[in-house]
Amino acid sequence: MSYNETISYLENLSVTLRNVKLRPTPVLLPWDGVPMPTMMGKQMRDDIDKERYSVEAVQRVAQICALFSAEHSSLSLREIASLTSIPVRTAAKIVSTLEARGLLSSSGKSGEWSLGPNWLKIADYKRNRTNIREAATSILYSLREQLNETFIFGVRDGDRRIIADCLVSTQPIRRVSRAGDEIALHVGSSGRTILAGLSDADVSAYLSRAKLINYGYDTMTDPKRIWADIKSARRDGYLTAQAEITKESFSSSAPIRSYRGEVVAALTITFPLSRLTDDLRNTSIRLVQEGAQRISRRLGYAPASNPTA
Amino acid sequence: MAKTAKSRRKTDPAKVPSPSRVRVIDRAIDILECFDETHEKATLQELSDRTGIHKATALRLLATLVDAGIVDQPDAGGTYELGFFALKRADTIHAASDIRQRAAPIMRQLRDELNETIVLSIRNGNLILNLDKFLTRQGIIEAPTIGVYTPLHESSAGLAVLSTFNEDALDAYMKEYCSGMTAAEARALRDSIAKPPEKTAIHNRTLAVAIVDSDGNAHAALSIQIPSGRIEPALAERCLKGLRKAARQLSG
Repeated sequence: MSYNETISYLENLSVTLRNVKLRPTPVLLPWDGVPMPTMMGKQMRDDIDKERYSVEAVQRVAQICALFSAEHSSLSLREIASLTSIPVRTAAKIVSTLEARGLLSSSGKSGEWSLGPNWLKIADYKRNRTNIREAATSILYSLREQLNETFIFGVRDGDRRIIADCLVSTQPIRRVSRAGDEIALHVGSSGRTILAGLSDADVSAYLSRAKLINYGYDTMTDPKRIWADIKSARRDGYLTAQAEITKESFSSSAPIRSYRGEVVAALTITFPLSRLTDDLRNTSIRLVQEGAQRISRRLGYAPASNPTA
Repeated sequence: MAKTAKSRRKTDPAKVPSPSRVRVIDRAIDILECFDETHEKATLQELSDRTGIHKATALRLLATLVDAGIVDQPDAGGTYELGFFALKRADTIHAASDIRQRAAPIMRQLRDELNETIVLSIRNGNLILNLDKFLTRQGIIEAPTIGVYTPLHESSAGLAVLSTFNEDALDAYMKEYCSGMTAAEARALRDSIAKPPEKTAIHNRTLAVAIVDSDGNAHAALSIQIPSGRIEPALAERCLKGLRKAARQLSG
């Protein structure tokens, strides 16, 4: 039996065992003619069990702490055990460990638990050290190595989009931009990408208080057009614009999300319209989305697939 | 280094091993607590040295912590740092706190008006903890410690809460928490509780006002800590006025 065959045999076996709800017992398997027990002595099996246990206990900490929410801010031991399928006695030990370390605390209601103050302390350390610009800068450099055009990292500040960082192309004819430049949110692909991350109510409120005037060359001033653009940004995950602020420029932007999932910034690639080809357009859209996803991951954004993260 | 970590574990009551606790979880939390204001990033070796946990065990624990998002390792094989898990838990604590939900917009507005750091503290019996802050946008800040319980008399926010106590309640508190103090220290403490905050502001640089519920219980406090380079009477006066107005909106 080759290595791959053995692995798939083992995988199939464990699937079968799971389906019939049997407790997996050590199985003898041929491995190039060597019987399994010789390869895996009792000590080794114990070690593997111990390793699995230790990892599992810490996984359970994450699982338990992720149960709490604004709606379910306190839970009884029984609820914790049944929601996580952890035996009550084990859950009790984990809970008392977490309580001693300030990660859970007994809530006002008797017999109920809630998240402990130590999470606030740890979160504060993390918050003080999470620098959105720092997260982006090194990624901007690696992106420009793939495409020598200008990269702009814009963040939201109230109703404005501010350029927090930018990395200008080294080509002789290039789009230039400066960190610190700011403009209203509805102007340009970068701002509208951020705008698209807001709720419909917040977008409407913004559009009613913002002055929809022409800021540069061909700024979108019609709320209908802005809404259409917002909808396409939400649908496609990117946005393109041309000749809005600067007559001769093309740009594509993608949203950057925080660990909360909210859009906090946008990544933009911009270049002179004279260089625009279908090929460059597609490359810039692909790169801007990839880059935005990389920066989002640095900001703790995890797409919904992982419930505990 | 390993030795000091071990002896610290022995003396800190939170870290005393007990049969009703899970040792491996304690160890994982030892690793987690290596990251703080001054230790933003750490290598496996550093974490192992600081906690006294064997490198092989630390590696397994870290792999689990990284998998759960509690710890982060941005580059494979590189240094470790805190993950975003704690931020989500802190958001949950904030969202579940009624007073924090009501206070947040008021605090933000006050911060924008004064451009000083506004802190919300909540009381739990005779202890108080800083629950949330809105930071000033100025270059020099005095960062408050978030998420650590202290006895009421050890923080300005707690002193503001104590100032709402009647004589009997204050006597009981002093007896329980301040029995180790000399007579002079105890007198000084009672004086500072009795004094309205504007009298102490310039000296302590922290202004605090209690938030009182409909039963007259001070269950929270708002405070502003002004860095010494900025403190002057007119600013203290403006901050105090803002705090009082905000606390009035949140009281009752």
